[in-house]
Amino acid sequence: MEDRQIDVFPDAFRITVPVMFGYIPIGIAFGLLVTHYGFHWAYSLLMSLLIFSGAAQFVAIALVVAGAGMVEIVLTMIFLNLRHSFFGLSLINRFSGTGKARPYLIFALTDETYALITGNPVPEKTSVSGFYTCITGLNHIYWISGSLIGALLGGFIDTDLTGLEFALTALFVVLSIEQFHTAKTKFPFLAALASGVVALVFAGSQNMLLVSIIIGTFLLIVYEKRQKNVC
Amino acid sequence: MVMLLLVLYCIRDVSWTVAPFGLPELICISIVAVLHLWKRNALLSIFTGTLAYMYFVRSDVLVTLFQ
Repeated sequence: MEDRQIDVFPDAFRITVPVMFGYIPIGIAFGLLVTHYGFHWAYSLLMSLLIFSGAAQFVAIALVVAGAGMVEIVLTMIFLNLRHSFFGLSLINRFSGTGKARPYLIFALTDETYALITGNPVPEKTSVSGFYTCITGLNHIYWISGSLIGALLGGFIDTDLTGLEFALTALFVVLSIEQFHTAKTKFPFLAALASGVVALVFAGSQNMLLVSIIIGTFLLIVYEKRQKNVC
Repeated sequence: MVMLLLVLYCIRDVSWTVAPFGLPELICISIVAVLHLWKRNALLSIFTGTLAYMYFVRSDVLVTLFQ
């Protein structure tokens, strides 16, 4: 084990460069949005450090601004990040020998980090945990840097950013399309449209998200049951 | 499911009955969707859509259409 200390940084840096070009601009947009809504720039830094989930951070800010309750925020976060519990499971073997770094690797796992870890072999004569920690840490640093740059820009430069909040809508449109491409059945999308519209009309804009998640989940459960009965 | 719900959540407060009838939102969502289906580049789709939206809500181009 003593001769494993070949520097993992150059390899890790090289493969994370594409992620850097994604995380820093989106981080900047997040930071700008945080200060645009009137929060202190430190919130942007802390959220990126402690939450480290792009979509969740954007949604959290939007929910807090909209005056959403704690239940609504927690439920939305669980639904939003549930996918990590599933693809995280597939990393159990890879993470088994990572020792002290393991809790951090689990905490800081993102879609992009997952793709890099599963898509790149660990270089020879290097430690698995060192290589994974370096990739994960670099991605985390890119995200934190972006959101700090954005928040500082937004806090100190007095620019009119009306309309910037659409970045959030655009992000969800993109994520919806990405999910649509990989989804096996398209029923959840119909369920989302139906429950969203019903909730908006009958529950009003304040409770829309919570009500639509409940209706949507109900529709999905009923659909699953019926699928099983047919077979 | 939750992503599409969040799209709807984002446009929950749009007033559909007064000019410009939610057109800035609809146009920009279409821009993002078409661009993303075509190029599959998340950054390009998000930034183009947001810049277009920032333009529409500042200018009264769409409002004057209905006068």
